[in-house]
Amino acid sequence: MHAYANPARFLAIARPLTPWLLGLGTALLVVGAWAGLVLVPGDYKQGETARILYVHVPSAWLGMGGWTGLAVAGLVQLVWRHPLAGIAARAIAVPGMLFTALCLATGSIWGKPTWGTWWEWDGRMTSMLILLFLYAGFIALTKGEEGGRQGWALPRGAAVYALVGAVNIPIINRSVVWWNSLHQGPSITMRGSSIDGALLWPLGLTLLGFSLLFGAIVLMRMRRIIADNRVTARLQRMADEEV
Amino acid sequence: MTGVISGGGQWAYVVAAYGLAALLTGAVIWHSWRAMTKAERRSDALRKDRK
Amino acid sequence: MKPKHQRLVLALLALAGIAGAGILGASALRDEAAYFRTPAEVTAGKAETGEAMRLGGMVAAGSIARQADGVTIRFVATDGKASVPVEFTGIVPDLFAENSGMVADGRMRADGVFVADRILAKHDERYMPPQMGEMPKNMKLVPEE
Repeated sequence: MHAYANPARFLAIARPLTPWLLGLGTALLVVGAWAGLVLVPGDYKQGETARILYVHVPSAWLGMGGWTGLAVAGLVQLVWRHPLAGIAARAIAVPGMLFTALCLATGSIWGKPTWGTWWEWDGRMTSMLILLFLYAGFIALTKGEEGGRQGWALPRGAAVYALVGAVNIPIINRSVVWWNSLHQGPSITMRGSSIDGALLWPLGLTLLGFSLLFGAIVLMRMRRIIADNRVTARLQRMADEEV
Repeated sequence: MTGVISGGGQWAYVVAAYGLAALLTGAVIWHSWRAMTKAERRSDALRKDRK
Repeated sequence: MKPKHQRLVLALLALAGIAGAGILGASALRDEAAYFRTPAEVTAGKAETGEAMRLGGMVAAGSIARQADGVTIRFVATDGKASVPVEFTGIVPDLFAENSGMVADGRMRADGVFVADRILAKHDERYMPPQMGEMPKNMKLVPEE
Protein backbone atom coordinates (compact mmCIF):
# COMPACT_ATOMS: atom_id res chain seq x y z
CA MET A 1 0.00 0.00 0.00
CA HIS A 2 2.76 2.39 0.85
CA ALA A 3 4.84 1.46 -2.18
CA TYR A 4 3.93 4.80 -3.73
CA ALA A 5 4.08 6.77 -0.50
CA ASN A 6 7.32 8.23 -1.68
CA PRO A 7 6.37 10.93 -4.19
CA ALA A 8 9.51 10.12 -6.18
CA ARG A 9 8.07 6.73 -7.09
CA PHE A 10 4.75 8.28 -7.96
CA LEU A 11 6.44 10.91 -10.09
CA ALA A 12 8.49 8.29 -11.93
CA ILE A 13 5.18 6.96 -13.25
CA ALA A 14 3.15 10.17 -13.41
CA ARG A 15 5.71 12.17 -15.40
CA PRO A 16 5.90 9.93 -18.48
CA LEU A 17 2.20 9.03 -18.21
CA THR A 18 0.89 12.61 -18.39
CA PRO A 19 1.70 13.35 -22.06
CA TRP A 20 0.41 9.94 -23.11
CA LEU A 21 -2.93 10.50 -21.41
CA LEU A 22 -3.18 13.99 -22.86
CA GLY A 23 -2.31 12.89 -26.40
CA LEU A 24 -4.41 9.75 -26.47
CA GLY A 25 -7.37 11.42 -24.77
CA THR A 26 -7.34 14.34 -27.21
CA ALA A 27 -7.05 12.01 -30.22
CA LEU A 28 -9.97 9.88 -29.02
CA LEU A 29 -12.08 12.96 -28.41
CA VAL A 30 -11.35 14.41 -31.84
CA VAL A 31 -12.37 11.14 -33.51
CA GLY A 32 -15.34 10.72 -31.13
CA ALA A 33 -16.62 14.24 -31.74
CA TRP A 34 -16.19 13.84 -35.49
CA ALA A 35 -18.12 10.58 -35.35
CA GLY A 36 -20.78 12.03 -33.08
CA LEU A 37 -21.27 15.20 -35.12
CA VAL A 38 -20.83 13.91 -38.65
CA LEU A 39 -20.61 10.16 -39.12
CA VAL A 40 -23.64 8.92 -37.19
CA PRO A 41 -27.22 9.80 -38.12
CA GLY A 42 -29.47 11.77 -35.81
CA ASP A 43 -32.01 10.09 -33.58
CA TYR A 44 -35.39 9.00 -35.00
CA LYS A 45 -37.20 11.38 -32.66
CA GLN A 46 -34.70 13.78 -31.15
CA GLY A 47 -32.96 14.48 -34.44
CA GLU A 48 -29.58 16.18 -34.26
CA THR A 49 -30.01 17.18 -30.61
CA ALA A 50 -29.29 13.56 -29.60
CA ARG A 51 -25.64 14.23 -30.54
CA ILE A 52 -25.32 16.12 -27.24
CA LEU A 53 -25.30 12.64 -25.67
CA TYR A 54 -21.63 12.19 -26.57
CA VAL A 55 -20.52 15.04 -24.31
CA HIS A 56 -23.33 14.90 -21.74
CA VAL A 57 -22.90 11.27 -20.68
CA PRO A 58 -19.09 11.39 -20.24
CA SER A 59 -19.33 14.55 -18.15
CA ALA A 60 -21.98 12.91 -15.94
CA TRP A 61 -19.74 9.85 -15.60
CA LEU A 62 -16.73 11.96 -14.64
CA GLY A 63 -18.65 14.16 -12.23
CA MET A 64 -19.87 11.07 -10.39
CA GLY A 65 -16.61 9.15 -10.84
CA GLY A 66 -14.71 12.13 -9.46
CA TRP A 67 -16.68 12.03 -6.22
CA THR A 68 -16.19 8.29 -5.98
CA GLY A 69 -12.47 9.05 -6.21
CA LEU A 70 -12.77 11.65 -3.44
CA ALA A 71 -14.56 9.12 -1.23
CA VAL A 72 -11.93 6.45 -1.86
CA ALA A 73 -9.16 8.97 -1.14
CA GLY A 74 -10.94 10.00 2.05
CA LEU A 75 -11.20 6.38 3.16
CA VAL A 76 -7.55 5.66 2.30
CA GLN A 77 -6.45 8.66 4.29
CA LEU A 78 -8.62 7.90 7.33
CA VAL A 79 -7.62 4.25 7.49
CA TRP A 80 -4.10 3.99 6.07
CA ARG A 81 -2.94 7.60 6.41
CA HIS A 82 -1.47 7.34 2.94
CA PRO A 83 0.25 10.63 2.06
CA LEU A 84 -0.87 10.63 -1.57
CA ALA A 85 -4.57 10.34 -0.65
CA GLY A 86 -4.92 13.98 0.34
CA ILE A 87 -2.98 15.12 -2.70
CA ALA A 88 -5.15 13.01 -5.02
CA ALA A 89 -8.36 14.29 -3.43
CA ARG A 90 -7.28 17.92 -3.78
CA ALA A 91 -6.33 17.26 -7.40
CA ILE A 92 -9.69 15.63 -8.23
CA ALA A 93 -12.02 18.22 -6.66
CA VAL A 94 -11.81 21.01 -9.24
CA PRO A 95 -12.05 18.90 -12.43
CA GLY A 96 -14.78 16.82 -10.76
CA MET A 97 -16.80 19.92 -10.06
CA LEU A 98 -16.16 21.21 -13.54
CA PHE A 99 -17.46 18.11 -15.28
CA THR A 100 -20.50 18.10 -12.99
CA ALA A 101 -21.17 21.67 -14.10
CA LEU A 102 -20.63 20.64 -17.73
CA CYS A 103 -23.11 17.80 -17.27
CA LEU A 104 -25.73 20.19 -15.90
CA ALA A 105 -25.06 22.75 -18.63
CA THR A 106 -25.16 20.32 -21.55
CA GLY A 107 -28.24 18.69 -20.03
CA SER A 108 -29.91 22.07 -19.85
CA ILE A 109 -29.00 22.84 -23.47
CA TRP A 110 -30.39 19.43 -24.45
CA GLY A 111 -33.55 19.83 -22.38
CA LYS A 112 -34.74 22.99 -24.09
CA PRO A 113 -35.35 21.57 -27.59
CA THR A 114 -36.48 18.13 -26.42
CA TRP A 115 -38.46 18.54 -23.20
CA GLY A 116 -39.26 22.19 -23.71
CA THR A 117 -37.49 23.50 -20.60
CA TRP A 118 -33.98 24.50 -19.53
CA TRP A 119 -34.43 23.30 -15.97
CA GLU A 120 -36.87 21.31 -13.87
CA TRP A 121 -36.58 20.19 -10.25
CA ASP A 122 -36.87 16.50 -10.93
CA GLY A 123 -34.92 13.85 -9.01
CA ARG A 124 -32.06 13.48 -11.48
CA MET A 125 -31.40 17.17 -11.98
CA THR A 126 -31.79 18.05 -8.31
CA SER A 127 -29.43 15.30 -7.13
CA MET A 128 -26.85 16.28 -9.76
CA LEU A 129 -27.08 19.92 -8.62
CA ILE A 130 -26.51 18.71 -5.04
CA LEU A 131 -23.35 17.00 -6.28
CA LEU A 132 -22.15 20.34 -7.66
CA PHE A 133 -22.75 21.96 -4.27
CA LEU A 134 -21.00 19.07 -2.50
CA TYR A 135 -17.92 19.70 -4.64
CA ALA A 136 -18.03 23.40 -3.79
CA GLY A 137 -18.22 22.50 -0.09
CA PHE A 138 -15.28 20.12 -0.38
CA ILE A 139 -13.16 22.71 -2.14
CA ALA A 140 -14.00 25.26 0.55
CA LEU A 141 -13.14 22.76 3.30
CA THR A 142 -9.73 21.94 1.85
CA LYS A 143 -8.71 25.39 0.72
CA GLY A 144 -6.30 27.64 2.56
CA GLU A 145 -4.41 25.24 4.80
CA GLU A 146 -2.29 23.52 2.18
CA GLY A 147 1.26 22.78 3.15
CA GLY A 148 0.81 23.84 6.73
CA ARG A 149 1.64 21.69 9.72
CA GLN A 150 -0.75 19.07 8.41
CA GLY A 151 1.06 18.85 5.11
CA TRP A 152 -1.21 17.97 2.25
CA ALA A 153 -3.35 15.51 4.12
CA LEU A 154 -7.03 16.35 4.11
CA PRO A 155 -8.47 17.85 7.27
CA ARG A 156 -10.26 14.98 9.01
CA GLY A 157 -13.57 16.73 8.52
CA ALA A 158 -13.04 16.94 4.76
CA ALA A 159 -12.20 13.22 4.54
CA VAL A 160 -15.38 12.33 6.43
CA TYR A 161 -17.33 14.80 4.28
CA ALA A 162 -16.07 13.05 1.12
CA LEU A 163 -17.30 9.72 2.49
CA VAL A 164 -20.69 11.02 3.60
CA GLY A 165 -21.20 12.83 0.30
CA ALA A 166 -20.76 9.55 -1.55
CA VAL A 167 -24.31 8.62 -0.50
CA ASN A 168 -25.47 10.99 -3.21
CA ILE A 169 -23.82 8.95 -5.98
CA PRO A 170 -26.18 5.94 -5.90
CA ILE A 171 -29.06 8.38 -5.38
CA ILE A 172 -28.16 10.18 -8.62
CA ASN A 173 -27.84 6.84 -10.36
CA ARG A 174 -31.19 5.49 -9.16
CA SER A 175 -33.09 8.80 -9.14
CA VAL A 176 -34.79 8.03 -12.45
CA VAL A 177 -35.83 4.57 -11.24
CA TRP A 178 -36.95 5.34 -7.69
CA TRP A 179 -38.93 8.45 -8.49
CA ASN A 180 -40.85 9.34 -11.58
CA SER A 181 -38.91 12.08 -13.27
CA LEU A 182 -38.70 14.17 -16.42
CA HIS A 183 -35.31 12.67 -17.22
CA GLN A 184 -35.68 9.32 -18.96
CA GLY A 185 -34.58 6.05 -17.40
CA PRO A 186 -31.12 4.55 -17.85
CA SER A 187 -30.26 3.65 -21.46
CA ILE A 188 -27.35 1.40 -20.61
CA THR A 189 -28.03 -1.24 -18.00
CA MET A 190 -26.76 -4.69 -17.09
CA ARG A 191 -29.27 -6.09 -19.57
CA GLY A 192 -27.86 -4.14 -22.48
CA SER A 193 -28.24 -0.85 -24.25
CA SER A 194 -31.38 0.80 -25.58
CA ILE A 195 -29.14 3.04 -27.69
CA ASP A 196 -28.94 1.43 -31.12
CA GLY A 197 -25.46 0.22 -32.08
CA ALA A 198 -25.33 2.68 -34.97
CA LEU A 199 -25.54 5.57 -32.48
CA LEU A 200 -23.72 3.98 -29.56
CA TRP A 201 -20.14 3.56 -30.74
CA PRO A 202 -18.98 7.22 -30.64
CA LEU A 203 -20.00 7.26 -26.97
CA GLY A 204 -17.31 4.66 -26.25
CA LEU A 205 -14.71 6.92 -27.85
CA THR A 206 -15.75 10.09 -26.02
CA LEU A 207 -16.19 8.25 -22.70
CA LEU A 208 -12.66 6.89 -22.91
CA GLY A 209 -11.27 10.15 -24.30
CA PHE A 210 -12.75 12.32 -21.55
CA SER A 211 -11.68 9.78 -18.92
CA LEU A 212 -8.06 9.83 -20.13
CA LEU A 213 -8.06 13.64 -20.12
CA PHE A 214 -9.52 13.59 -16.62
CA GLY A 215 -6.69 11.30 -15.58
CA ALA A 216 -4.16 13.67 -17.15
CA ILE A 217 -5.71 16.66 -15.36
CA VAL A 218 -5.56 14.86 -12.01
CA LEU A 219 -1.92 13.82 -12.59
CA MET A 220 -0.92 17.38 -13.55
CA ARG A 221 -2.60 18.80 -10.48
CA MET A 222 -0.99 16.19 -8.23
CA ARG A 223 2.43 16.94 -9.73
CA ARG A 224 1.86 20.62 -9.10
CA ILE A 225 0.98 20.00 -5.47
CA ILE A 226 4.02 17.75 -4.96
CA ALA A 227 6.33 20.34 -6.53
CA ASP A 228 4.85 23.13 -4.37
CA ASN A 229 5.29 20.86 -1.38
CA ARG A 230 8.97 20.35 -2.13
CA VAL A 231 9.56 24.06 -2.57
CA THR A 232 7.95 24.79 0.79
CA ALA A 233 9.96 22.06 2.52
CA ARG A 234 13.22 23.20 0.96
CA LEU A 235 12.69 26.86 1.77
CA GLN A 236 11.91 25.85 5.33
CA ARG A 237 15.10 23.81 5.57
CA MET A 238 17.18 26.63 4.10
CA ALA A 239 15.70 29.07 6.59
CA ASP A 240 16.48 26.67 9.45
CA GLU A 241 20.09 26.28 8.31
CA GLU A 242 20.67 30.00 8.21
CA VAL A 243 19.67 30.49 11.81
CA MET B 1 -46.41 18.74 -32.50
CA THR B 2 -44.94 16.19 -34.86
CA GLY B 3 -43.24 13.97 -32.30
CA VAL B 4 -39.96 14.50 -34.11
CA ILE B 5 -37.39 17.29 -33.86
CA SER B 6 -36.34 18.54 -37.28
CA GLY B 7 -35.04 21.63 -38.98
CA GLY B 8 -31.73 23.48 -38.85
CA GLY B 9 -32.37 25.30 -35.57
CA GLN B 10 -31.41 22.25 -33.53
CA TRP B 11 -27.77 22.51 -34.58
CA ALA B 12 -27.40 25.64 -32.47
CA TYR B 13 -27.97 23.56 -29.34
CA VAL B 14 -25.53 20.88 -30.48
CA VAL B 15 -22.83 23.45 -31.28
CA ALA B 16 -23.40 25.21 -27.95
CA ALA B 17 -23.01 21.94 -26.00
CA TYR B 18 -19.87 20.83 -27.87
CA GLY B 19 -18.38 24.31 -27.75
CA LEU B 20 -18.92 24.58 -24.02
CA ALA B 21 -17.40 21.13 -23.46
CA ALA B 22 -14.32 22.00 -25.54
CA LEU B 23 -13.93 25.38 -23.85
CA LEU B 24 -14.21 24.11 -20.28
CA THR B 25 -12.05 21.03 -20.82
CA GLY B 26 -9.42 23.05 -22.67
CA ALA B 27 -9.39 25.72 -19.98
CA VAL B 28 -8.88 23.30 -17.09
CA ILE B 29 -6.16 21.41 -18.98
CA TRP B 30 -4.35 24.62 -19.85
CA HIS B 31 -4.61 25.95 -16.31
CA SER B 32 -3.43 22.67 -14.74
CA TRP B 33 -0.55 22.39 -17.21
CA ARG B 34 0.65 25.93 -16.59
CA ALA B 35 0.45 25.63 -12.83
CA MET B 36 2.30 22.31 -12.97
CA THR B 37 5.17 23.44 -15.20
CA LYS B 38 5.60 26.61 -13.15
CA ALA B 39 5.71 24.71 -9.85
CA GLU B 40 8.07 22.03 -11.18
CA ARG B 41 10.43 24.62 -12.63
CA ARG B 42 10.57 26.39 -9.30
CA SER B 43 11.22 23.14 -7.47
CA ASP B 44 13.98 22.12 -9.92
CA ALA B 45 15.66 25.52 -9.73
CA LEU B 46 15.72 25.36 -5.96
CA ARG B 47 17.24 21.90 -6.01
CA LYS B 48 20.07 23.09 -8.29
CA ASP B 49 20.72 26.01 -5.98
CA ARG B 50 21.51 23.67 -3.14
CA LYS B 51 24.04 21.57 -5.01
CA MET C 1 -6.31 -5.31 16.67
CA LYS C 2 -3.79 -2.96 15.15
CA PRO C 3 -4.94 0.65 15.05
CA LYS C 4 -5.00 0.50 11.27
CA HIS C 5 -7.51 -2.36 11.37
CA GLN C 6 -9.49 -0.63 14.04
CA ARG C 7 -9.79 2.43 11.84
CA LEU C 8 -10.78 0.27 8.87
CA VAL C 9 -13.57 -1.44 10.83
CA LEU C 10 -14.76 1.89 12.18
CA ALA C 11 -14.74 3.49 8.75
CA LEU C 12 -16.61 0.57 7.16
CA LEU C 13 -19.20 0.58 9.95
CA ALA C 14 -19.68 4.30 9.55
CA LEU C 15 -19.94 3.88 5.78
CA ALA C 16 -22.59 1.17 6.14
CA GLY C 17 -24.49 3.42 8.53
CA ILE C 18 -24.34 6.37 6.18
CA ALA C 19 -25.42 4.27 3.20
CA GLY C 20 -28.30 2.81 5.18
CA ALA C 21 -29.43 6.22 6.34
CA GLY C 22 -29.17 7.58 2.80
CA ILE C 23 -31.23 4.79 1.30
CA LEU C 24 -33.82 5.03 4.08
CA GLY C 25 -34.03 8.77 3.56
CA ALA C 26 -34.36 8.35 -0.18
CA SER C 27 -37.14 5.81 0.11
CA ALA C 28 -38.93 8.01 2.62
CA LEU C 29 -38.84 10.75 0.02
CA ARG C 30 -40.50 8.44 -2.48
CA ASP C 31 -43.66 10.46 -2.86
CA GLU C 32 -42.28 13.89 -2.09
CA ALA C 33 -39.45 13.57 -4.61
CA ALA C 34 -41.72 12.39 -7.40
CA TYR C 35 -41.69 14.92 -10.18
CA PHE C 36 -45.25 14.21 -11.31
CA ARG C 37 -48.32 12.19 -10.40
CA THR C 38 -49.56 9.41 -12.62
CA PRO C 39 -53.12 9.09 -13.97
CA ALA C 40 -53.58 6.07 -11.68
CA GLU C 41 -52.68 8.18 -8.65
CA VAL C 42 -54.94 11.00 -9.76
CA THR C 43 -57.97 8.78 -10.40
CA ALA C 44 -57.33 7.09 -7.04
CA GLY C 45 -58.01 10.46 -5.44
CA LYS C 46 -54.48 11.72 -4.93
CA ALA C 47 -55.37 15.10 -6.41
CA GLU C 48 -57.60 17.78 -4.96
CA THR C 49 -59.66 19.82 -7.38
CA GLY C 50 -57.89 23.10 -8.02
CA GLU C 51 -54.63 22.03 -6.38
CA ALA C 52 -51.56 22.98 -8.42
CA MET C 53 -49.83 19.76 -9.47
CA ARG C 54 -48.01 17.97 -12.22
CA LEU C 55 -49.45 15.12 -14.21
CA GLY C 56 -47.26 12.75 -16.21
CA GLY C 57 -48.29 10.04 -18.63
CA MET C 58 -48.39 8.77 -22.18
CA VAL C 59 -50.52 10.59 -24.70
CA ALA C 60 -53.09 7.95 -25.66
CA ALA C 61 -53.18 6.88 -29.32
CA GLY C 62 -55.67 8.84 -31.40
CA SER C 63 -56.64 11.08 -28.52
CA ILE C 64 -55.24 14.46 -29.57
CA ALA C 65 -58.08 16.69 -30.75
CA ARG C 66 -57.69 20.33 -31.69
CA GLN C 67 -60.55 22.47 -30.47
CA ALA C 68 -62.55 24.92 -32.56
CA ASP C 69 -60.52 27.95 -31.38
CA GLY C 70 -57.42 26.50 -33.08
CA VAL C 71 -55.06 26.93 -30.13
CA THR C 72 -56.61 24.61 -27.55
CA ILE C 73 -55.98 20.88 -27.63
CA ARG C 74 -57.49 18.02 -25.72
CA PHE C 75 -55.93 14.63 -25.26
CA VAL C 76 -55.95 11.71 -22.86
CA ALA C 77 -53.01 11.02 -20.56
CA THR C 78 -52.64 7.39 -19.60
CA ASP C 79 -50.27 5.16 -17.67
CA GLY C 80 -51.82 1.90 -18.81
CA LYS C 81 -53.84 1.60 -15.60
CA ALA C 82 -55.92 4.76 -15.71
CA SER C 83 -56.50 7.77 -17.96
CA VAL C 84 -57.13 11.44 -17.37
CA PRO C 85 -58.42 13.87 -20.01
CA VAL C 86 -56.22 16.95 -20.40
CA GLU C 87 -56.96 20.35 -21.88
CA PHE C 88 -54.23 22.78 -22.87
CA THR C 89 -54.04 26.12 -24.62
CA GLY C 90 -50.65 27.03 -25.99
CA ILE C 91 -47.61 25.69 -27.77
CA VAL C 92 -46.41 22.16 -27.11
CA PRO C 93 -42.80 20.94 -27.61
CA ASP C 94 -41.89 19.24 -30.91
CA LEU C 95 -41.63 15.88 -29.21
CA PHE C 96 -45.18 16.04 -27.91
CA ALA C 97 -47.13 13.39 -29.81
CA GLU C 98 -49.46 10.44 -29.41
CA ASN C 99 -47.85 7.31 -27.92
CA SER C 100 -45.22 9.53 -26.40
CA GLY C 101 -44.62 10.74 -22.87
CA MET C 102 -45.59 14.15 -21.54
CA VAL C 103 -45.65 16.05 -18.27
CA ALA C 104 -48.22 18.79 -17.65
CA ASP C 105 -48.38 21.54 -15.02
CA GLY C 106 -51.90 22.47 -14.05
CA ARG C 107 -54.84 21.51 -11.88
CA MET C 108 -57.86 19.22 -11.89
CA ARG C 109 -61.15 20.88 -12.74
CA ALA C 110 -64.34 19.80 -11.00
CA ASP C 111 -65.48 17.96 -14.16
CA GLY C 112 -62.47 15.63 -13.99
CA VAL C 113 -60.52 17.32 -16.78
CA PHE C 114 -56.92 18.29 -16.04
CA VAL C 115 -56.37 21.86 -17.20
CA ALA C 116 -52.71 22.34 -18.10
CA ASP C 117 -50.94 25.65 -18.28
CA ARG C 118 -47.66 24.18 -19.48
CA ILE C 119 -46.72 20.96 -21.23
CA LEU C 120 -43.30 19.33 -21.43
CA ALA C 121 -42.40 16.36 -23.60
CA LYS C 122 -40.81 13.34 -21.93
CA HIS C 123 -38.87 11.01 -24.14
CA ASP C 124 -37.81 7.47 -23.38
CA GLU C 125 -34.34 5.98 -23.08
CA ARG C 126 -34.19 4.65 -26.64
CA TYR C 127 -32.02 6.14 -29.34
CA MET C 128 -31.93 4.85 -32.92
CA PRO C 129 -31.40 6.03 -36.49
CA PRO C 130 -34.44 7.47 -38.31
CA GLN C 131 -34.73 4.68 -40.89
CA MET C 132 -35.50 2.28 -38.03
CA GLY C 133 -37.90 4.77 -36.59
CA GLU C 134 -41.09 2.80 -36.41
CA MET C 135 -42.94 4.21 -33.45
CA PRO C 136 -42.21 1.66 -30.76
CA LYS C 137 -45.38 0.40 -29.18
CA ASN C 138 -44.40 -0.58 -25.68
CA MET C 139 -42.84 2.65 -24.47
CA LYS C 140 -42.86 2.76 -20.74
CA LEU C 141 -43.17 5.96 -18.84
CA VAL C 142 -43.56 4.85 -15.27
CA PRO C 143 -40.40 3.19 -13.98
CA GLU C 144 -40.60 -0.46 -13.04
CA GLU C 145 -41.00 -1.07 -9.36
